[in-house]
Amino acid sequence: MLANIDEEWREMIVKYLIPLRHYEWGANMNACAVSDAGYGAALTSAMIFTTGDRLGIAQILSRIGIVLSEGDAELLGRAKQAWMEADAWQGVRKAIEDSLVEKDWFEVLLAQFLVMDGMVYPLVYKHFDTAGQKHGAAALSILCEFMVDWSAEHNRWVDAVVKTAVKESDENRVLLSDWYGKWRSIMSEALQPQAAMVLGDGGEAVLNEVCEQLDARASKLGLTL
Amino acid sequence: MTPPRKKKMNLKQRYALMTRGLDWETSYQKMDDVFPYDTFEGIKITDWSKWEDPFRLTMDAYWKYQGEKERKLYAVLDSFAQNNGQQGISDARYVNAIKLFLTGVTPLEYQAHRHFAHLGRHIRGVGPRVAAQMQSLDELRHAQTQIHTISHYNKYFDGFAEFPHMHDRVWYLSVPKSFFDDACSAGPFEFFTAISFAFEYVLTNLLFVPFMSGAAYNGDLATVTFGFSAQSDEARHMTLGIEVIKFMLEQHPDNLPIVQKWVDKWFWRGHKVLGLVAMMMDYMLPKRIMSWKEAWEIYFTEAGGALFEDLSRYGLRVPKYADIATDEAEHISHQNWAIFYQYTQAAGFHTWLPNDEELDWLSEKCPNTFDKYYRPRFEMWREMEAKGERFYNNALPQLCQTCQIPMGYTEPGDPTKIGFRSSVYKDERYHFCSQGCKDIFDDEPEKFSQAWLLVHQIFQGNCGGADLSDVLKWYHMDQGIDNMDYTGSPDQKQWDAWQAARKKVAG
Ligand SMILES: [Fe+2]
Ligand SMILES: [Fe+2]
Ligand SMILES: [Zn+2]
Repeated sequence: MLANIDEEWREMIVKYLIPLRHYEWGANMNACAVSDAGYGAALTSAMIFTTGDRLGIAQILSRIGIVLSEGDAELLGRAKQAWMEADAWQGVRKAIEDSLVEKDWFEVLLAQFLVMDGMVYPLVYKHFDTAGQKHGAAALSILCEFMVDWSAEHNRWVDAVVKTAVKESDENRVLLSDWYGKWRSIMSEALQPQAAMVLGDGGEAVLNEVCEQLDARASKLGLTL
Repeated sequence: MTPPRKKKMNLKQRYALMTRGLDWETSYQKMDDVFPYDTFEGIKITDWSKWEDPFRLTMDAYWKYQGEKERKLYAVLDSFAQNNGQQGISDARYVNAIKLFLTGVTPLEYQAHRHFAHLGRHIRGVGPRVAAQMQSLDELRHAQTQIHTISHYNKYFDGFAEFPHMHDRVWYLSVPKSFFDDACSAGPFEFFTAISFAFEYVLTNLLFVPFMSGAAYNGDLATVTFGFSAQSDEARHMTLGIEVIKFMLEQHPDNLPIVQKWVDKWFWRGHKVLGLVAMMMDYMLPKRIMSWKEAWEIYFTEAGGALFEDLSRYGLRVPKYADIATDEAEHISHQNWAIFYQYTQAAGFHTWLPNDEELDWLSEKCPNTFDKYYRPRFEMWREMEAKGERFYNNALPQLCQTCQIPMGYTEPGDPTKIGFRSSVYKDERYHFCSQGCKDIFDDEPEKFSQAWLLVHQIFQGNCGGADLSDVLKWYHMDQGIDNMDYTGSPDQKQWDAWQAARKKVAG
């Protein structure tokens, strides 16, 4: 099924997509942390389902890696090495590790599910995927369809949560806007090498577009930018 | 020349890539900061990679199986409702067992979900971490399916409507609640030992087998169905429990005394909580399945005996006071039902005295104790009822600081003497129902001295007032509807009306 992808793009997939299984594992831990420490079943119940979903997505990405590797673990090993060592990934890995020690569960929720996902998902599953079409990667889009559908659904939930919290009080709005600004700047920087690696010279413009769209979404939720 | 064929991975290798392969050693933050809770209890894990996954379930398989199971469950529930299944049970007295289950146990499923989420985030080893995440999902689903199932009974019978509110306030519900709160406020390895091992592995058959076969015998298909639906999950929970125990014992010899202490503690706590199930089996099922004593023999003495025999190679011994708990198997249900009979005015389900046939069954099942100690008391209460002098205990009982049960249990070896123990901690005296409960307190006095005890709270004015009617209001219990004897209750009137209508149709 993935046989039509050209050699050069296969290499690119190992660099940009497969390491994301570790990003998903970080998101799994963050969802579980909110389910553990959060207050109110409306949040905590939803977050344990998200915990399972993010493990599921990490496993989908792992399977793609195994198929590309013709049944062995070699590509997963290289992708893990990229996650651990490649310059392009260190900003994202650091952001995830920093979120794992964050004590305020609502900041974790906002950082992971609004900001990080709000940039990573459109960048990877939309823009990087589009770039792959020239290289015969149509089948890959089908394998990633779940992530696209899932995030559209999940974003509605995330938006409802953030909007409700913002509306609750002015203090909330100020605090949440602060957190948004902090994680937005961390992530927009962390993803620059990714965008450049996959999209070359066009990367910067695309990343800017992704950030602007997230900002527009955040303003709609009542956050001050 | 063809390139060398790649070596195919086996299932175990594949599963490892799908789980522990995702994990990494953090370097921007210290691992000890990412996992701050898994060392303070003193359990030493030298090599997490030695963990053998007891089951290999990927998320896509999990969603698929659970989705199918739940679809079937809801189909059965729909047909139960359409066919007025509530009218097909053995007798409306049976529903009181379900009231006790929904108010006492279902909230624990929810607490289990919350705390397995804690373990699912904070256990450093990926194998048990993923298992805990799935269990957290399972337990949330169990809470949901139980509430959904039981909501049907709520349409026809009293005592169900305020179950979460009652769980936080009612005197006897603080027994299961405090049991779980104790586990959730412990460290992760103690929680595994308490819930996954002591409760779900060692004692689970004493809860679920009697409960589910009781439901089946008494025509409660709805409950049987959620029981079956939970069963495949429970199989996973049990394996997790036994594997964690073995893993701790294999990893470091220093772990043995810690694990043994927890096993002793949680066995005793579990034994006391299960006294409620004992009462359900011996008194609350209109059609009996087996006595509590028989269940204890099969599921603890025999099955538990074999288990601890097997674990002895790790140096683990049978829990402390197992012999006393075994002796109590012929007492505990009778003592508990007597407590509820005396305090029926403050209970969220109905009570009654066993009829002649039931008394004879109890005599036969507990030949060493029933005729001698308990039958005369029930017969005396029956005579008092006949004279219009039904006995109510209007004094607030003293509660055990550890298990929170009213201090109505007797001394081992002397069933005519109430067992009292006490300890002094920071100039205050604390009271216990048994040596087992005292030992637990003495080991963690700072924790247990803070226990929330209903009777103390009433005296301190925190429960709506000093009168029974104030406290009932605070419980959200309706006087004369949710509480008191079955005879004369709205439940009974409803049931009798159904029976009369049936006779007419059959007529
Ligand atoms: Fe459960
Ligand atoms: Fe369970
Ligand atoms: Zn006690």
